[in-house]
Formats: sequence, structure tokens, C-alpha cells
Amino acid sequence: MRSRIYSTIINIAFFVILAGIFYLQVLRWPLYHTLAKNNHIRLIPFPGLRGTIYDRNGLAMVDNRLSFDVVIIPQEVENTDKTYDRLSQALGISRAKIESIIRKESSAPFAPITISGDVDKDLAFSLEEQKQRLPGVLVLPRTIRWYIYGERASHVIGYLGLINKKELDDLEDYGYSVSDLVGRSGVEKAYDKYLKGEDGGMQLEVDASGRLVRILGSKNQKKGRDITLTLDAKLQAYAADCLEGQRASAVFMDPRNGEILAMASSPSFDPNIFIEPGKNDAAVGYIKSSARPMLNRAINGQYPPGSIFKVVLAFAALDTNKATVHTTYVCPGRYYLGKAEFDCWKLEGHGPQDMRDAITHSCNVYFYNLGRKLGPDTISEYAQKVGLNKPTGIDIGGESGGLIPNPAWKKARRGQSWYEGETVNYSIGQGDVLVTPLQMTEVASVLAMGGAAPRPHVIKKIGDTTVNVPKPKMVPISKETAATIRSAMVNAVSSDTGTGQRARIEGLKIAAKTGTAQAPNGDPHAWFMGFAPADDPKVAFVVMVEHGGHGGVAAADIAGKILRFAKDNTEILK
Amino acid sequence: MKYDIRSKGEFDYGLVLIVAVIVLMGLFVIYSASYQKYVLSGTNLSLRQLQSAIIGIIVAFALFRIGYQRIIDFGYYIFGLNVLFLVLVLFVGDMRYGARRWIEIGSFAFQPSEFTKVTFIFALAKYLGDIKEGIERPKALVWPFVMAIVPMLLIFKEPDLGTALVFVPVLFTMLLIAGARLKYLMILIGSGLACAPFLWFFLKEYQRNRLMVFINPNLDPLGAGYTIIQSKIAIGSGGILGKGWLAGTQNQLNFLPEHHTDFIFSVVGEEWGFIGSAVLLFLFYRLVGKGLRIAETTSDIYGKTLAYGIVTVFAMHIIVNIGMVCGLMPVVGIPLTFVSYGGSFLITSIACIGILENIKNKRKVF
Repeated sequence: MRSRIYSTIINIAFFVILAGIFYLQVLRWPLYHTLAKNNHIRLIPFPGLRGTIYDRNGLAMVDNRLSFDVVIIPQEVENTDKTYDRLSQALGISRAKIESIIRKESSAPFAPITISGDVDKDLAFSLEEQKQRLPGVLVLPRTIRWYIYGERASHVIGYLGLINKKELDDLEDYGYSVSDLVGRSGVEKAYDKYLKGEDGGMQLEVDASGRLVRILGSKNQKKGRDITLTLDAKLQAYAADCLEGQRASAVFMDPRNGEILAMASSPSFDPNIFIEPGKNDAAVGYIKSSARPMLNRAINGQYPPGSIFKVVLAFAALDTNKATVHTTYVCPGRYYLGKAEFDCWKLEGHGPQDMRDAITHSCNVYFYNLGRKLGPDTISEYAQKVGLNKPTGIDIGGESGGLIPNPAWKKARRGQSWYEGETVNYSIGQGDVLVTPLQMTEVASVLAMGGAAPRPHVIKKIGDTTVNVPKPKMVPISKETAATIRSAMVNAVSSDTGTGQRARIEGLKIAAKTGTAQAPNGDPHAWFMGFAPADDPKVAFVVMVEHGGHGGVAAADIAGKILRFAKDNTEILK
Repeated sequence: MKYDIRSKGEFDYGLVLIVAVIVLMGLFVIYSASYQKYVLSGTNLSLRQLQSAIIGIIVAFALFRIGYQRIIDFGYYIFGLNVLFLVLVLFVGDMRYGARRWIEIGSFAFQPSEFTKVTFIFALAKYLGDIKEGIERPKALVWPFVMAIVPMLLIFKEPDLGTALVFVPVLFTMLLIAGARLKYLMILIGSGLACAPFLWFFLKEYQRNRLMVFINPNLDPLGAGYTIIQSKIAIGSGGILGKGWLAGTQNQLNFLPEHHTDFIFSVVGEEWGFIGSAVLLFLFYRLVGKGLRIAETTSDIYGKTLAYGIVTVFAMHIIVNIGMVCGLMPVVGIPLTFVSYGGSFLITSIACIGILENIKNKRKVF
């Protein structure tokens, strides 16, 4: 009996052990196989550099530069107190902060912990010289992305962020890996697959103490492809400077081919911030800011166009023969629809105005009449003909489409009928209508080129290959119509009664239209849209200042300044 | 069948064959486990293990010829002498890996504690054989208890927790088989368990850590938990077929500490896979089974308790050792019978086979 108990216990024990071995070796083999592999195989990555981004003249706008990180290897520190104190002194970081970083980041005694990333070069060299006094402290060089123009070109160029789980799942096959930075907006995002370098690396076998046993294989890294933009870096920087301190955007585009020469949006952000993990607070600040600096107002800002919309009505009226150049209305300063009164911006009235005068003077009453004659459906039809109500198709993507309302839209969307009063407002670009500055730049191009609507784009070349640009779409606008509107816009700048005279520049014939759009809270938005030189257009532009005030003054001033700069300092107008 | 009383007693060739195969496997595994050392310094540990095995065979043969009854007669004296050595080791012992377990005589070093396991069994077998049914009285349990506790404390002091703990199951098995009253044994076990929490305070820091990391190895993955994690990785990564002899990365690249001694089974698992470990486990199972068969079929109370004691020592080492390298038990640090590198334990174990064979051989004498 007793011996039976004994042998039973022995049998059970052996069985449990057999089951244990089976569990480890057969059932859990995949896990332990990986763990064993991770134990003895190390990958030393050689990160492939991202391609450089140049402006149209070959100036580097985004490059890679060497940075120096100060790291500490805990097991090699001889005297913790002394080392921390000296390091604290050298870096200007409190000792408590250093200790907290080490506590938070420490994974293994031999794993380096970054105390301070991207330190000053002089500091890096001086620390390197003191190596003997600071055992365990190392200065490691690392290549990081360098946005040379910082805040001044960030919306077009974009920024980088750590790849997330979902993207990694989608992109793993294309050579992306866990710690990769990927483009989060702008060119960095749209052309990520060209810019991205190919990582190389060495596969090593190491023993338990981390010593190299042998090299299993290695692969060289490859730099990503360089990209040449259509931007003119100098003009871009200047435009950005002109917008500083306001919520505004500016687009300058070559109307002949759609090349974006400058696209600025303010307030802006510094893409360099997103590279440094230590500067997370600043990045979060951008995202949380109510001024929305991350928003590219040139393509995502949707505003009522105000008076710059009048050119669309002029086009519609002339094209449908509802009016001619000579059609004249008298402006008494106000307009009545039943009992409702609609003002002209000039309360004393413009008097009799033909179409050219009305555009030059931006007479509201004239366009109230014209709009009512056309009706909302025709207005919306022609607005869509010039490319509104849908994205322009710019290659950096993510742009908004704006909104061109009509009675059918209103019925479907709000279940309400269209009121005649809305047509009156619609005629001067108010009400539900929304456009983006880039869309209006397209409209300016159409007028400048007599109908040819180019596809806006920021990329010129990938590597040495010139990127093909789709042929401009043709807007069916007659030569005469375009010429009429153009001459009125020229007058708007050159005539002493014109609304855009503040943008006047000696030796440059500018065609432009001002705009004032009622904004829900505060001052109205200021618009300025045009092209130059008027007879041989080389640049089409829009400047938009949120709450910039009446008469497009703020926008016209900025546009004038930028055009003067373009004329004096760049090749664009030559 | 006519029973010939003068005929030569039986001899279990199967048992010897099993042991021979296990020892041979052990030599190969030790060669692989110490391969890096061999390459670096030319020390061939498997050769030394072979020398120990040969000494073991000689001792086993001698003991077989002498006969266990004669040795039992001197049981107390041999045990007493052995305990003296245990005291001695605490004073003049050679310090290795932070423990004082070895006595050095010239170039020869041995661990008295390894021999104590057997001398204790002999002494206890003599006591149990002498007292016979008297063991049923509770007073009779005092002396065996003292006999066990003295060497345990001395070994614990070395410190060698694993070896000290082996005495507990051996003591209880032999008492159980000798016919001690279950009630008293239960009381003994119960009071032992009640004392267990106090034992915690006597443990050294590293021993406490080992127990803590058994509960959660990730508590200290680079410190106390390191060994068990690496051991499980080694065994698990071996898979069904293993990585091949001399090809285990965990073993050859030194991720496994003590891989030629206490953690030798991890090398078996890594390089020979589930098939290798299962074969080895099966051989052990047969070994214990054959030992038990001898113990069960022996009517002589001396021989019976002696055989049970020996089988228990084998079974304990096998189960606890493999259990701990697989993470099923805390790491207490006892070697794997016939396989782990270590002369004293190998000699003792092979000698025990000689004694078992002798018990089998003699049992028909009565």
C-alpha cells in the first residue's frame, strides 16, 4: 500500500515534467525561438538618408545635418555623483532632471540613454575633450532632418512623424520599419516614397556579454531621391515674413504651367520641432493652439470670397449675353429688394457704372442687378466652370473643395427654398459660398491665360527626372470676355479711383481685384487676387488676410510688397 | 520452478545498461556545454567526468562485492565520519562560487555533502532495521529526525540549500516504508510546514531572490531571474529536433550560466530538442522504475529502506533539477544525476547503483 502511494507520486511527477518539456519545446517553440534569436543576433542599422529638397533655383530647402546627442551608459559610469554633477553643469540641466531621465529611460545597464539630444556643436566638442573626466558619457553623432527655412515653408514642405502601427502594417512591404519617420503633411507626405532612403544595416552574432562573434551579413544604405520644387525659396521666405503676425495666406503661381512659386500660411510651425523627441511640448502646443498653425490656410482655409467673386459674375453675364461691356446700372449707394435694403460699400453711390467701371470700383449695386438677372443657377454653373466647388488637384493633397451653393443644393441640404435675397448676396460673394485661396489663384490664372486652367503643383523634378504636368484644362471663356475683365482689373490697380491702387508698382502692370468678405466675428476678411504682368502674365496670386478689414487694404498691401520683391529680387517676372 | 538457494543471485543488466547510456549521453552534453572552455583553455571537462565515472564504477564494484549488510553494520560510524567532514568543510573548505563546499587534498577535491546523502541512508537504514516494529512509537522518530537535521544544518551553512533539502524526502520515504505511523509523520510534516515561514529569515539574500523570481521571473530579468529566463529560452528554442550538438546558441554563446552543472538539462533541450529530452527523461523513468522494483521486491527491512532511500535521492535530483530548469520549480541548485558535471555526485550515484544491484543480488538469500 505505502509503496503504491510512493510509486504513484513518482509517476505523476515524471508525467508533469514531460508535460512541462512538451509545453516549452513544442507548444511554445515559436516564442522561445524568437527570443533565442533576439538574444544572439543584433542589427546595427545604417539609416538611409532622406532625399534633399531644393527650390526651383537649386537652393536647398530641406537637408540632413549632423547632430550630436549626449548619452550615458549606466554601467560605465564610475562615480555617479561626480558624473551627474559635471554633466548637469555642462548641459545646463538640473541634476534631478538627469536622474529622472535615466530612471525613466533605463532598460539595461549597457543600453545608452540620451540625456540631451542635438546639443550645440561646441558643447559636443568640449564634452568630447573631457572624455577622461566623464567615463560613461558619450557624444554620439546622428544625422537628422534639417528644415532650413523653418516656419517659413513648413506648410508646403510638411513635417515628419514617427510611423504609427497602421501605417507600418500597410507599408512594411515597402521597406518601412518601426522607428521610421514618415511624412505627415505637404511634400514630405505626398512624396514620402521617393524621399525615403533605404536603410542598410549589419547583422551580427554576439555572445552573452555582447561581444561580437561574427558578422552574419551587411547591406549598404541608400539615400532617398532628391526633389526639386517649383517654389522660389527667396520669394517663399519673403511671403511668409509678410504674413507674420496675422492669420493669412498667400499663393503665387505661374499661370502658364501651374507651378507654385510661393505658398505661405500664417501662423506657421517649425517642422524641426517634430524631429526632436524632447520637444514634444512644443509640438503639442502647435496642435492645441486655437490659431491652428498646422492648418495650411492656402488650401484648407475656406472663406466667402466677397468681391473677388464678381469676376465670375462678369464672366457669366458676358458669356450668356445677359449683359455686354456697355450694360450700365446706376448705383445710388443702395439696392432694394422689396423692403430689404442692400448697401453698396460706397454709401454715397458710384453713379452710372458700366461693367469695366463696376469691376474697377467693385460696385456692389451693379452686381446685385447682374446677379438677379443671371439667377443663382447660372452663377453656380459659371463658378464651377472656373474650377470652384472642387479641389484644384494640387499634388501635395489634402486640400478643401470650398462650396458653391445653388437652389438644388439648398433644398437637398437644408430642405429650404432659395430666397431672392440670397441671390443678391451671392452676387458679391457672400452667403454660403466658400472658396480657398488656391482656388481663387486658379480663377486668376484662367483670366490671365484666357481660359487655360493649369494644374497647380509644387514638384518640378524627382532626382533628375522632370515631373510631367497634365495639360491645362480649358475653361470656355471667349477672348473678348477675358480681355474685358482683364482690362477692368488693370484699371482697379492703375486708375486713381480703382480699389487696388495700393498694390501699384512702378514698371509692372498688375491686373487685380480686391475683396471684402463679411466674417462672422470681427472685421471682414480681406482678399486680393490678380496676375502680373497683365499683358504677359507670369504670376497669378491671391493674398487673403482673415479679418484684414475693409476694401482689401491689408491684402493689397501685402501682395504689392511681395510683387515688388519678386520683381527686384527674383527671376520670376523677368 | 525449483528454487536453487546456492545459485548466484540475480543481476539487473538492464539497470546497468540504462545508467551507462545516461552517463554516455552526459559526457557528450558536457563536452558541448564546456566546448568554449575547451577551445579557449584546453580543459576537457567530459574527460574528467569520464575519470570520475571510472572511479565510480570501481567503487560500485567494490561495494557490490562487500555487500550492503556489512556496510550497514558500520553505518553509524561511516555517517559520523561523514558529518565530521561536513564540520571540517566549514573551516578548511575551499571557497568556490561563494560557497564553501569542497575539501581539497592535493589536486583532488570532493564535496562531503554529496557523500552524506548515501551515508545518511545507510545509517538510517541500520536504525530502522534494528528497531523494526518499534518505529511505530513516536519516541522512535526522534533519532531519525536528529540524524537528518544535523547534516542538513551543516550543509545549509555552506551554503547549499538544494542538497540540504534532499534529506527531507529521503527521511520521510524511509520512515514511511519502515512502517512509521502515518499520524506521527503527518504531525512532523505539519510542524515542518509551520516552521517554513521562519526559514525565510535564515535564507541568504540570493536564495530569497531565487524564490521571488520563481513566482515572477521578470521581477529582475538581468539579475536573479536571468538564469531561469535564459534556461527556458534555451529549452524552448530547441523545438522538437533541437539545434544539434555543439550548435545551441544559448549554450555556446554563454547566455546560459552554469550550463555544464545544474543547468545541463537546458543544453540537452536546446541541442537535442524535445526528442532528446524525452528520451533522457524516459531513461530516467526506467532507472527509477527499476530501482523501485528492487526496493519493492526486497523483504529485508535493511535492504528495503536502503533501496528506497537511494531511489528517492535519484528521483529527487531528477525531478527537482529538470523541474527547476523548466521553470516549474524554484531554482534550488541541485545537479542532475549522472549527467551534470561533478565528480563527487557522479561517483556517489554510480556507487549507489552498485548497492542497488547488491540488494537485488542478495534478496533471495533469505
